[in-house]
Amino acid sequence: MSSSRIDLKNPVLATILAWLVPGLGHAYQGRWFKAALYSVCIWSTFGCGWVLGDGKVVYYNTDLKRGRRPIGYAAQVLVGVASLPALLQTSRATPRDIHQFSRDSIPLERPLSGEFEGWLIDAEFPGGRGNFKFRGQISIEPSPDATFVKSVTGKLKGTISKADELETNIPDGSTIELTIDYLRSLEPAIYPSSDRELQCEAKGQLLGANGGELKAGVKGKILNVRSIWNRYAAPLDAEGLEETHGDLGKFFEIGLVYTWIAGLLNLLAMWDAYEGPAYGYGDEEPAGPTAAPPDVGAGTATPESTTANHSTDIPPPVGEPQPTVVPGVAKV
Amino acid sequence: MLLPIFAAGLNVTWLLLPLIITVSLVYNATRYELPEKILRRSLRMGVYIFAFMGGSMVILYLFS
Repeated sequence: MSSSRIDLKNPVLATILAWLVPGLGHAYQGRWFKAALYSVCIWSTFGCGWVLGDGKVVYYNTDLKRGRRPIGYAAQVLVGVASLPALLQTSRATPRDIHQFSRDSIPLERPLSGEFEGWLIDAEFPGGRGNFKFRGQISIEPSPDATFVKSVTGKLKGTISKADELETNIPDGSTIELTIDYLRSLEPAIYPSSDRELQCEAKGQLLGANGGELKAGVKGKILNVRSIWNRYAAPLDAEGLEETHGDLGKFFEIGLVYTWIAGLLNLLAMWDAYEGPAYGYGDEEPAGPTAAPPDVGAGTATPESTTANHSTDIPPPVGEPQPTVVPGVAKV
Repeated sequence: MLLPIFAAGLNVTWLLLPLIITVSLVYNATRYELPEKILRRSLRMGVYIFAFMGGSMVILYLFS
């Protein structure tokens, strides 16, 4: 309901502003209390959902072949600037990044280096075989003479510690230096996480007194290698979606629902910016009927029936029929 | 992981509470303009929703 007591200014512009930034449309109209209320409520709901979902709940990912439709995003996009980047991120990610179930054929698009944390799996070392935890530095780049996407060159250097009860004389904290030549799998470049997972094959040297040849599969993540540009509102691939469900459990779903509700609440706020409050200003006198005198009639207290009851105070002109009031039925 | 430590051990039912507060505040803000009226109606609506949800939970608990 549009109230003449509220200056809605340009309602269309206010609605667009309210969509883009919850609260901004009402601030433009000078409705400061509502601007603050909508801003705090909608942003906090959206933010809680974002945190509960580990920053992975806002994404635009449609894959009609797999039966996925972005219905949830239709609600999230109502929050405006917070969710619009998801459209851009999906256009930046390659179809392979989003739709492929396996990460086996994602190529290394540029050199990567940084701190690496993970595992040496099924490592063959002097006198045995087993798994180790690893922490150190990695540098990896596409092989210049690559004939297919798996060929890379890289180095891995750091310390290992035993991951299980191994019968070995290799002490924890031993240093290794490996060469990477084969990339087994790689997380997409555009993905909602600061760390980037990879699996590769490596071989090299175990340094120190118990040194010797070492060959292992390597699985882990390069820490803090993705910029916010490459991770904010980025789409989850099928494998990432499964992992996220496994890691977060119900909190992923709850985070989604929070962001959906934030968007739907902003839809109400947008309508308020366009049309004003639905029931009026809020200090109007209650319009409509007053209570009927107890001695008059037995009809219902609808406005019309009440008027009819009051009209019985004045007798009708002679010759006109007396109005009858049927209990429980309003006069039509 | 951004998930706060307190949320990991939290009964998810409590996560309904902030939703009740925000939904009742935003809904009533779209109905009225006066802050006092908005806050009063929001409080009433919030209590109703909380009572309804709590009652439903008790009933479901008794039947479970």
